Amino acid sequence: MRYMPFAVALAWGCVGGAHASASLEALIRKADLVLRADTAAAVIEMKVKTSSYSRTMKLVSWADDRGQTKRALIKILGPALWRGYGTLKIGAQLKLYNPQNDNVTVVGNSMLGDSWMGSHFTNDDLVKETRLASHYRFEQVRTWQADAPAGGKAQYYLINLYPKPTAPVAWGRIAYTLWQRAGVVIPERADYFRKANDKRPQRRFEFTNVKALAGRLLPTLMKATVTKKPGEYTTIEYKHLKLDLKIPAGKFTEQALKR
Amino acid sequence: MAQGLTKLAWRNLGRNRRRTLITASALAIGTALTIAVIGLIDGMHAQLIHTLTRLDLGHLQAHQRDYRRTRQLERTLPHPVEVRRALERDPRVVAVSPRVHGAALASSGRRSLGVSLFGVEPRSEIKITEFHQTIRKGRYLDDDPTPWPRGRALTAAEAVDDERLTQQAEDAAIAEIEGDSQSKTAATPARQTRRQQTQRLARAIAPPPKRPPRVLIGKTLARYLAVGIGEQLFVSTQAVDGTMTELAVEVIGIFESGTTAFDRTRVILHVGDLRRMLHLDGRIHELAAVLVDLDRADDVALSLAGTVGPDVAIASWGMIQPTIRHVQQQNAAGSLIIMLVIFAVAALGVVNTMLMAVFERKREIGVLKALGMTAGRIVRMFVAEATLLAFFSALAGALLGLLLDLYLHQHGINLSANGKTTTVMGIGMGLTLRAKVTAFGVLMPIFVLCAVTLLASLYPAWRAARLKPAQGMREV
Amino acid sequence: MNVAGEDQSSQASKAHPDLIVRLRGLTKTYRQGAIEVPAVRGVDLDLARGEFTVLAGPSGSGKTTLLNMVGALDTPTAGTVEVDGQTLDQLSATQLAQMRLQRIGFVFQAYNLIPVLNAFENAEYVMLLQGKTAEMRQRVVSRVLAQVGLADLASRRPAELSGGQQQRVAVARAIASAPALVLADEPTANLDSKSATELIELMHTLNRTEGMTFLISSHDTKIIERARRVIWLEDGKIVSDSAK
Repeated sequence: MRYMPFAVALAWGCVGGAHASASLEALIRKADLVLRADTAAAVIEMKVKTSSYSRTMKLVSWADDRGQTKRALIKILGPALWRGYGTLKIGAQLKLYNPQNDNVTVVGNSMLGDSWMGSHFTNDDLVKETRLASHYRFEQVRTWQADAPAGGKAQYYLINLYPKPTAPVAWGRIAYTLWQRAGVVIPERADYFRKANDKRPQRRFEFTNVKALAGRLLPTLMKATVTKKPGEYTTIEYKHLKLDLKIPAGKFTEQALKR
Repeated sequence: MAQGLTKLAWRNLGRNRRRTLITASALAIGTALTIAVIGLIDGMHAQLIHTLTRLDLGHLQAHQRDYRRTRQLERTLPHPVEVRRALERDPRVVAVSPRVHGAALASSGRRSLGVSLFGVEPRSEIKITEFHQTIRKGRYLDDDPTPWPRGRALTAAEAVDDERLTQQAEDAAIAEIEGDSQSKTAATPARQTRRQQTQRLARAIAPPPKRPPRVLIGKTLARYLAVGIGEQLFVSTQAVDGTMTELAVEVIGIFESGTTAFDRTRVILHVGDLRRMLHLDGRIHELAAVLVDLDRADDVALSLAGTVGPDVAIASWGMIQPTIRHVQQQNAAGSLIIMLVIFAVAALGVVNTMLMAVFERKREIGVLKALGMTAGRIVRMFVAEATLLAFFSALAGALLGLLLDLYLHQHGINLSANGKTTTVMGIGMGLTLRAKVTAFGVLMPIFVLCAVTLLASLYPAWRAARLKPAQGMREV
Repeated sequence: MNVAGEDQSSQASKAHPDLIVRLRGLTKTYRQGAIEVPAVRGVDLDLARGEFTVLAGPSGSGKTTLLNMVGALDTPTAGTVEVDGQTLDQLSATQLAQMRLQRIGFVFQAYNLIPVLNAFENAEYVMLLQGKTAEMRQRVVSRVLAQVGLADLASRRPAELSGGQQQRVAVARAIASAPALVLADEPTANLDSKSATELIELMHTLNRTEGMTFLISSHDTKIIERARRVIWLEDGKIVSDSAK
């Protein structure tokens, strides 16, 4: 699901709500389109703030969303302690590269719950490809008019996403806020609830800094917070973005991961 | 008078020796079996508790308040020095040892397995757990941690260098994204330089150990990863600050604890080494203690809890692993049921024997009543007869049960038909189930049998007491 | 229990101090289905201390029934039984047991010794029930066993003794507890002639030397001939009461 690990989402890409209920389907599909491309590459700044540390990292991500097997590569650009660390995703497989001892680790089941690079995302978040359309049904909670972050009036929608009975998903409900203006649909917030009737979400993603980048209007900053850990967050901000580019050959190989 | 009754009761038992012996044998065998079952159940508990306390928990543990619930690396024990001192000062505490826990992926060649890292202080840990006694190959850990230089912050100049390197990398990335053909050719040598300089800076911040830290691993893990003594394996784990640490470690000892979970997933290393790997500095997760009296662990835990401040949780092995208590309670109920079933059968035998005796001795009872024996005394006589029967049967049974127990203690029951250990509630049982002989386990069945028999004899005794003296006479 | 028993006797014995047994209108009727079978019909009888009385009569004349009622083993349908000044119909089962234990000695036709106890222990048993001390039991039982001529056979069990010997043990048991009254129900019926004669002599001797009161039911002519007082029963009634 692309809205989740935002930068990663962009890198990973995702399938849109092809079979969503008719009226909402268009909205979801358009929101998808904002963050969607066949291929993408970006330079990103990630900030992690926890109770015990805070750090800022630069990273570059490459993603190829064509075909059945989604592929992506992330390399840390700096600072020194993490420079050269890499993550390669091919389908559901995740490999981590440590330049300090030139070692590649295949992420096994036991490590899926571990945090990715100390952020509030887990390795599992990177691997899982939840398809909104096939795994969730949509239900509009309400819609209203308000000032859009990019200026002017926008139509807001709050949509509840409930997993279909057989969907292999961890969430009982996702409350998804998005707005529409002049034919463009932009996501604003997603609250993830463990159970459908939970009062407090387990985590929240907020999409802000809506501006034009790579020829599109899109939110360029995403903030992830976890309800249980107040004061902690991870933000991801696009510094540079290119969509539908030609990705150099051999980008999604172990050699590229190590390079 | 009492001795008169006892004498008569005793002599009456000798009347129909065969019947008395059959009944007594049934009672004795019932008692012996009960004692053996209780011995085995007690033995199982003792083994479970031993595995639990002497291969893992110790008798008592201190943690940060939320550590046991969350198992989060950052929830380290507050004031470890003070808490350790408080524990060591307590006369009920024998030994205390600090520990750090982590989770990692251990890999060697193409195989890898999730493992738990168990950082211990080698010298004090041997007073808590017995892993050092289960080492089958190699040796135990060294007293001192692996020499491992301390990291330092970057100098101002180095920090500038670092930023420059990041900027260069970013520029190169953007150039590649934008398909700048010129960057492609220049990229490789620049990348090499960046790598070398990064390495230098990273090693200043987080230097590697002087040699691979030494670890102990279980037999199963050693076999799975195909590593032997002196060979290396890779351990990758996430430090408390979220960084991934991948480190080569050297296997210096292979242990076989008999508990599958430990032999398969536990990697034991020096607490100092694990602290470095997890970037925990001087922090620890746990203090484990062994007490003078394992059965008093709850009391000690509760009384110490008040002295160490609200951030520190002190728990006994039973509080940490309440399942074992449940097992214990269930088994206690189970053995009670077994005992009652065995003794209910015994009681039926006693009732039958005594009713036959009453029937046979109707005339004699009439005579005794005619001679002036009261109903109460007749009841007492039959109860005495049954109780004597039960008591001596129980004594014989207890002797037999004790022998059975001792045999089961010496030789045990082999639990590992195919070399695999049995676990109860996930706790390893070891390879052999041995009976545990306790005074309670031997005396209790004697007492219960006597009590049950006494109750069972009341009905026949009452029947006897109800006979009229004249009726007895008329049978003449 | 012992003390209380003695208290009662001392109070009661004031009424008829010289009488050990006093029967008035004693009647016993058994039910056999719908038919009432009278066993004893309105017997009045007084026995003085030190008497040696034989209750004679054919089988079914009510001898044993009468003896059982005197021995507090059976309760009368009507009439009163006084033994040693104590009226029995007012007593509870426990008090009756006490009465038998403290005041009455029994000798049965079939000896009725306790098979698991030897001669000494059988003779001792009633004393044991009375709560006498071991020292006293030892002394008394040795004496009575000597009196009945069984001092040498004290350690034999009933199965190892002849019928006559067993009945002597029964007599020893009856007298060892120092009863006010000894009841004997056909004591010679199972004995050969010689043993029977010896037993009769023994009882007479005891009556003479110890002053013990005997009431014996019998149709044995040897006993009847030797008795000082013979009471004939027929159909539950006294038909003659003759003293020599």
